[in-house]
Amino acid sequence: MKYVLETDKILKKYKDFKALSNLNIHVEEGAIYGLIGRNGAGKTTLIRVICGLQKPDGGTYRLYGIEDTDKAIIEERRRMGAIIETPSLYQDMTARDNLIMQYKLVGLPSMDGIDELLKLVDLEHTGKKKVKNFSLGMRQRLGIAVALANNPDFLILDEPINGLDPQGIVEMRELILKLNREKKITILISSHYLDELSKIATHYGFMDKGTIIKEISADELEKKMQKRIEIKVADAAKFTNFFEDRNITYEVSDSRTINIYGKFNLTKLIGELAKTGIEVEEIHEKEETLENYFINLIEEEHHE
Amino acid sequence: MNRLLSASFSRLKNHKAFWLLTIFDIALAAFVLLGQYRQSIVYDYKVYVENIVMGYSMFIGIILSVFSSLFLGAEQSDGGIRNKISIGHKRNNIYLSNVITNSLVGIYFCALFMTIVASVGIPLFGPISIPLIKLFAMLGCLILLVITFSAIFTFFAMLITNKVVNAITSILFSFVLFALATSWINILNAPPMIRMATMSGQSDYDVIEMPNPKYPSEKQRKLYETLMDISPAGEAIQLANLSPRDLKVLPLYSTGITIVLSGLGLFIFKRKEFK
Repeated sequence: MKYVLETDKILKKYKDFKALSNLNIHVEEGAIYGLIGRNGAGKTTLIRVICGLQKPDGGTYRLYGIEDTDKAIIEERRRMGAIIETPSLYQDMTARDNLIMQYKLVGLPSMDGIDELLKLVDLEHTGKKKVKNFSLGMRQRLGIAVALANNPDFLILDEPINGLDPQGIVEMRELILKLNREKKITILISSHYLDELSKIATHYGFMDKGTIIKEISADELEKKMQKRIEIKVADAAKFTNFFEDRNITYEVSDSRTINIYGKFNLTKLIGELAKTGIEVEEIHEKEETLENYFINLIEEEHHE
Repeated sequence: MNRLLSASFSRLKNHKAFWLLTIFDIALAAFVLLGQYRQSIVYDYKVYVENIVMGYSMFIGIILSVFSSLFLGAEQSDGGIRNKISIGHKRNNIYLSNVITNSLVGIYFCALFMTIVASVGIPLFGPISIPLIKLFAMLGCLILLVITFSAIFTFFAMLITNKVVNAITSILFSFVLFALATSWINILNAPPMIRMATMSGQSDYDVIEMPNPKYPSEKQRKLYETLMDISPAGEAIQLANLSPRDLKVLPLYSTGITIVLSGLGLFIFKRKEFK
């Protein structure tokens, strides 16, 4: 498995406050990685550290396998594009001029591709309008165009849908999916809009108080959030044959808990369980939303 | 570095402050030439073109403080520096490219003013009357002085995140420098003797000459002369008056200040944390 970004126990302190603590994250190549966390969880701080704006106080990170302390990481940064909090745009310049600036900064020999970029983000008709007169959605889209100028294969978007109207959100979503599917760009996107992220992310990192509390793929998360029956027993291991014999999809989540998935006749199931002689202590029907999953995750973390 | 400079010049073409200051430069040249011409007619005195040319030394510090705070200030406020770091430019190169851009713009403003003044002034008032080698030596000092001013204002712009605070600091600093240098030169130009009127009767006055209490001692003179040489504003005043104390020492002080300040600025900038 190839990782575009990995961190190893990243620590970032501001005086006595730990903004990032023992943080480990793994962004797979080709993924849309949703970094989820409440306000103040440390998402933007992590992005600032990865982009070289701030140095970690402990731990390391690797971009394309190159450590942050290696001078060669500067070369790897040239494969990245980023929007950190707000897009870096010169307010007194037009969309085209901002892109020309970025082309010169990344050393592109000709201005070919600027028209295509403007079209990609639906800003090809802005003409002489200065960025200071753009709407928020237009600035966000131009920010993405600027970030794409050097043809990156890794794009970091920090809260890109904050402040966007519903149409803007849809346009941003479609753009992100297009970039990932058609241009094969790995995307790290931070947000606290869970519903929106759930529509695009292939992997999730749940963050709280400066640390990643859980990393999970979208497929695994979907299974966990599926409607399921949670059964509490004295010894879960003794149950597995029961479900296998009946072709019921199950998961042993701990020594006393089994989750079963799928559609079946619950009354019949309870009757057959009673015949096994193994005592069922509790039985619950569960269905989770991403919000519930996240909140439960944080609560479990606090109890630990 | 080339990419950073190319991007800076690209931005310069579109920057309002650059063009407004260019117009200001042209207007200033026209205003000074016209003013000197009228005075020469009214008061019947000879105007020396080299005085007007080198007189620009008094303006360049303030002009650069305005330009730098607006042009480089936007780098901070619009996220330009953040962008450059994220896409892999070294912090040293980012800092130095801004010093270079500032310096080249300062030299451009000087050249623009002086070209207009020389093109119009020489036919109007007559040729340069001082030895050309002295004039070129002073112009060389002025170029180094422009680079020193650039280093100072780049230092402020790169390290002060707030655009407004940067603008106030830069412009105020340039005025304070010039105010101090003016006070030092007034001290150095104080006459050794002054005349005082004393009453000798009910309505009679006697005018007597006495030593000027503000006349600097030998030590004080040495101190103020050294300060005038070290201070960029002091150097600017000397060049504007066509009376540099020592044309071999001034470039050394300018270069020294540029190196020390740029070194300090680079040291701090490399460790600065950006949002």
